[in-house]
Amino acid sequence: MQQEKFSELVMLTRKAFEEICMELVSCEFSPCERFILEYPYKTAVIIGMTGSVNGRIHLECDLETAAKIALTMNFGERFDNPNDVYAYMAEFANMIGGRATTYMSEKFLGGEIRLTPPAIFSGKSLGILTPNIPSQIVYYSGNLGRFFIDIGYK
Amino acid sequence: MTTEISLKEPLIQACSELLPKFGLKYSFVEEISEKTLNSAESINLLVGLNHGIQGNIILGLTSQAALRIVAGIIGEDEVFTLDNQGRNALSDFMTMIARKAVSKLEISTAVDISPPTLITGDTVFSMISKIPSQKLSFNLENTTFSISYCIE
Amino acid sequence: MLKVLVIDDSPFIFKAVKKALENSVFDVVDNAGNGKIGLEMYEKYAPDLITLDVTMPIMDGVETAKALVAKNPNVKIIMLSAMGDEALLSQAKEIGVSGFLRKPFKPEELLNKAKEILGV
Repeated sequence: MQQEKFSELVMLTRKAFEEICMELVSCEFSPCERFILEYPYKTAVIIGMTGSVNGRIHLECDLETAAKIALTMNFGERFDNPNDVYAYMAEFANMIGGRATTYMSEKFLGGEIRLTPPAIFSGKSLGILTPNIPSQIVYYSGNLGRFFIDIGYK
Repeated sequence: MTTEISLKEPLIQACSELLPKFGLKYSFVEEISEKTLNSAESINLLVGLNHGIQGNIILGLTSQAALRIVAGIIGEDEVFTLDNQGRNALSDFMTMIARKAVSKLEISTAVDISPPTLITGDTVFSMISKIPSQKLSFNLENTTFSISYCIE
Repeated sequence: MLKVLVIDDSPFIFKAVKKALENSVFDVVDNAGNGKIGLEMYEKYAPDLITLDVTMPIMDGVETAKALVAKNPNVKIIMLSAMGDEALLSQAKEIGVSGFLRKPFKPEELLNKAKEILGV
């Protein structure tokens, strides 16, 4: 993929992430220096993209940040089922992916871009990579915690 | 799109066509229904599906199974670490399994497959759909592997 | 009260719709996790308005909208989707969907759209 188009796709994905965070949980996540998530348990959401853009978006944070995001989405009300945190994170990532692909469709007219269902992984010492896909990681910090978003397009 | 499609037979057939090619002896054990949030293996490969069908497939591997499959693919007797070459081999293997399986589905629209993502970790849990998934278990020589899938 | 049925597989969206429409003329009666259940609930509740997700398991929003319009050509549907591309919008219009909102929506956006569609 041409470097220029790759940079554009990354920029549009970042824009989608920042907007959704603001609209959904009223949290301004700002790009920050690289960090290592301090809590051992991490939560990652992966959404694949196919069609005229082939790639994936990978969001990752510690479990505590995920719980804060989900709780804020749930209007501050505690969950009856703790697993709902994952369902809410899936919806959060889906909105980011949806917004990003909408921008991509608008920018690169023609060609449908499709999203695969969000897949969530949680665990200790998570390592996630998509071989043979150029990607860029952007680190974010906000009052709900810290996130990184790994954006890869082929 | 309304779907009542199972990937069980296509995935089993895909394994039967691919694994022997790499000199791997395996057997299908069983299919079980899972919940939405499930414990996963320490090495997992994920591909997403859309267009013709929408869903996710995860290949779950023990470290031993991952190294055995890599050795089979690259034509070595044994492999001791999962390096870059090994990760690429597993990624290609996952693509092959997914492509073979979806090609066996009797649906009119082509299925798109997202690039495989490798997920490793300890005490890993996964949720590949908001609806329960199915898990196919296999024996692979002295170890095991599984393929979980969910079609939405 | 005007009855609203939510057809969406996300518990978050159900909650968000309920919050947006509470203390108004609307009563959110139930949540169907997919289109198939949604069609059954449509028969059960005869809602005045439906909010409909696009991507759902079993039966997606586009198929569900077509089935709902086939049952009742005057059915009022607001389609909610994370994706807002032109192709989807024009497909929704063609089917006969009354309104379209992009997720995440503001509570007042949904309330105003619902009022506008039902003329209240």
